[in-house]
Amino acid sequence: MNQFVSPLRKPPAGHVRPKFLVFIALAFCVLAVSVAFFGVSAVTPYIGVVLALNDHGWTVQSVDSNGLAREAGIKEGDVPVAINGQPADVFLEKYEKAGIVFEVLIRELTVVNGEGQLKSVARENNPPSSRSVAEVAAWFITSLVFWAVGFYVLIKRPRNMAAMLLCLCGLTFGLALSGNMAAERLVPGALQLQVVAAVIGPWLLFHFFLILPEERAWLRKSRLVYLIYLPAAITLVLFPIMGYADGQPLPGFRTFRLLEYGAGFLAAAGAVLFNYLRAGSPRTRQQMKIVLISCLAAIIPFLVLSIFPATIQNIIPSGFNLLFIAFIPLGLGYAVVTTKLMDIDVLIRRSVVYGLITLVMAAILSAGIITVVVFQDTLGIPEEIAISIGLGGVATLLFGPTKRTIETLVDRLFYKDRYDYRQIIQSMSASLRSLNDCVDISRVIVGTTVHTLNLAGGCLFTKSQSGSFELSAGQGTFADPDKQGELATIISQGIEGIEFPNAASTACSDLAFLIPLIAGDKRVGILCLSQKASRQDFSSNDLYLLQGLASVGAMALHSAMLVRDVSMRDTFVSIASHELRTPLTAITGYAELLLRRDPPEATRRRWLQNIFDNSQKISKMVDDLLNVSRIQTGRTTIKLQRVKVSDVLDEVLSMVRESCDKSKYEFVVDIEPALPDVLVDRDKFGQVIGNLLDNAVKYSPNGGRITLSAHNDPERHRVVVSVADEGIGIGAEDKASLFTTFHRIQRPETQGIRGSGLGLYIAKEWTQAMGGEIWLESQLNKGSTFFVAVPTQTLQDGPKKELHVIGRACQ
Amino acid sequence: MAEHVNRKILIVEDEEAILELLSEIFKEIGDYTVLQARDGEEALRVAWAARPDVILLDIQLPKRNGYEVCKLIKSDSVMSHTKVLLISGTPPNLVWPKAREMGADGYIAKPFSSIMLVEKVEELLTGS
Repeated sequence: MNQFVSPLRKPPAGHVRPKFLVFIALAFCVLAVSVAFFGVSAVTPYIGVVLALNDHGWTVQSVDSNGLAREAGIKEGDVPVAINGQPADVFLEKYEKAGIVFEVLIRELTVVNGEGQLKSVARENNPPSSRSVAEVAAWFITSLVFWAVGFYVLIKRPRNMAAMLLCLCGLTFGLALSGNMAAERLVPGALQLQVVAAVIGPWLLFHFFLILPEERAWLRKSRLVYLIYLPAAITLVLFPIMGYADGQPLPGFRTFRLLEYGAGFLAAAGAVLFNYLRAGSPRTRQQMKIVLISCLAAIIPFLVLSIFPATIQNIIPSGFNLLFIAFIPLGLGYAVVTTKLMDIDVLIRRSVVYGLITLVMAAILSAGIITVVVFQDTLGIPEEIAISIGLGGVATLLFGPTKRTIETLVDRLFYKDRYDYRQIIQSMSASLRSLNDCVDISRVIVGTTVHTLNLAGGCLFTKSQSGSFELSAGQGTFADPDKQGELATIISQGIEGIEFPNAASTACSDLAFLIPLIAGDKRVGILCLSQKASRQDFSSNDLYLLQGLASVGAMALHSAMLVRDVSMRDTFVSIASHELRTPLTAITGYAELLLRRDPPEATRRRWLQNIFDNSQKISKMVDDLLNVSRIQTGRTTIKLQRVKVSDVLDEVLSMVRESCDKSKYEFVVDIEPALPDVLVDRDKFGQVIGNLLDNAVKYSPNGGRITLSAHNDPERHRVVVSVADEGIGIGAEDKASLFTTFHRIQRPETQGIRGSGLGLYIAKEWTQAMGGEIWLESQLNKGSTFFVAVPTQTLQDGPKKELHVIGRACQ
Repeated sequence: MAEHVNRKILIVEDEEAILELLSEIFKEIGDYTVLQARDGEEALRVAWAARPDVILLDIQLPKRNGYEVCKLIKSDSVMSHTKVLLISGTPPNLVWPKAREMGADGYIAKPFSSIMLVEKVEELLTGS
């Protein structure tokens, strides 16, 4: 028993709760009592008869197969003559009202049987029968398994209520069994303890199943759940009052007791079935499956062995059937402790299929036998042989098709999510072949996976030009933007250790797998998959399919990305050269004109202004290109400092105001008073807001109101600055790629609006590097609002510090 | 040179500085009537009304881009003889295939010198 002491000596992490110590102390007391009862029972013989009062007076009602009475030849219907050294009449007088005398009262018995022979039996000076010892040993072994499992789960999951309850169940089970046997052997107090244990036990089991599923963790703390012990409490209170008299339980109350714990067991079984059918998570379902299977493994052999005729029972060692009960604690313990559960579905499916095949084959063969029997008079032996061989042939020929038909039938009825994975991969690669857009490809990959495996949801993050993973398709429960945000956070934190084929549910409960899509040695995407909608577990076939889909998908994505990169390069060359060459044309052109001519003063000034403006444009474009290059090679330097928001906003706004047509635009400023200072790079923060204001002007060709606001968000320690316009707005199809390099909205309204397509990309990267966030809300043709949130403090609150942004290498 | 007198040139450019620059270059030569347009639709309107001999057409324009304007002019039976010279800052290899498809007579890349530009226009007009 040494290993059980360890929780006392070496407490599990942290301090040992006093309640836990009390529990352990109590557990060991119960354990000690149970072991003592088993020990006494093993060496003490018992009579094993029940006497009952009927129309013929007192007779032997039943004789236990393992008792001394049976060995002595006492049988049902014998009439008692003397009991415990007293004449039977004298002894039985006070039990007439009860009408029954249980074995717990009988030490010595003499009976007369039908033939008039006297048989007598006494506990004193008699060794226990071998069958009795075997029975005690079998129950002891079963209890031992229960205890071992109970303490094992308690050590493995010291703070788990389910483990505690399972341990209690084991102790109660052992106490009930040992108490029952000790009571039969007239050990004082055993009967009472046995009743207490038997009355409480089933409700403990019910309690265990109620709180076992993870989704019912809330119930573990609730006090209401203890109401389930009410029937047990009532029974325990009533037992000494009206259930016990003259050293034995009263028969009427015994029935009540049986009903009480019958109800308890039914409730427990109901809880198992309910958990199974309404499982909130696949784990619960698997746990319940294991419980059900272990119960079947225990009860079926137990019943089968118990109903065998007595002759066969004599061959089997006594108590052998009891050993099967040990499957129950093993199953329960397994369900509590393990986190990965076996794939039982496949096993069940195979059993169903082969069972049905056997039935069909048996029907064919029976048809043959019946034919032979019916026509045996008219048929000669050669014909009978021919028919047998023919039917055998038919059965053999039919085996294949029958198996296939039955499999299809079973799949269609119970396993809607089974499939031929080669076909799926083939059809997916066929549909991917015609696509070369990353988003379309992502949709196909997610759609195929979710549909084939019947998943609740799935989404795909693909590698963007900047090297980060961005959402490209989502379906089902993972189409929800909040969920996608959560997944993006998980991915950004790195998926090492939880990626496929490991379960990713540690990171997020409804996430089953994070599958990196790898082409060559590049990770081109990450596929996030939820659990199955049916809550079934993934089979090994599913995992093969996922592997296949992932590699086909990765190749398609990779080639699409190469095409995209080449076309991006073209876009880059085209936009960059356009944005540099146009101002350059103006500069050289006006310089030429000025060199050649001598225009009037006003014209000269205008031309010089043109040269100056266009030089500014080139310088801005070169700056942008350098900034992008710095971002992509990880050389951006951020100098964080405390900055007054309104100062920066005023400065930027006055610059933008000056450069635009004041008659068209109305600028509204809404800056919350007493804003806390923000911790940003002053220049970069100013440029970010400047970019947004420039865009607001640029993309409101018809003018309108431009609102610059700043509000405090004290909960998240940040200030949110927003720039709202009443311009052309941004469509859903542009929102996703708006913050990427050289993305320019291609709409009739945007033709002729000049821009490098770099502003928002730089704004996003810088904002994130400063620990902030940028996002937008927009309605097509109504206007857009861009939000920039920047932190008001950092963890190490220093006055001014330099920060190197860890770069992402551009591929 | 007598035949060159009073040729009409339509300059389509949305960037004010470039529009003025191009106009100045051709006004300086003297024998061009310079017409201006600042977007694709205005370009088509002016072209219809004034029937220019040559159009200097920027590709990136509001309302209709240079390619569209070029295609519409070249597919029109009355206007199809008008010479169209596309101007853009985008490298020629990315522009010229499409420009030719739209029927443009020539392409000139920014930045250009005024002499080069005038030569190109003259060449187009005399070559016909």
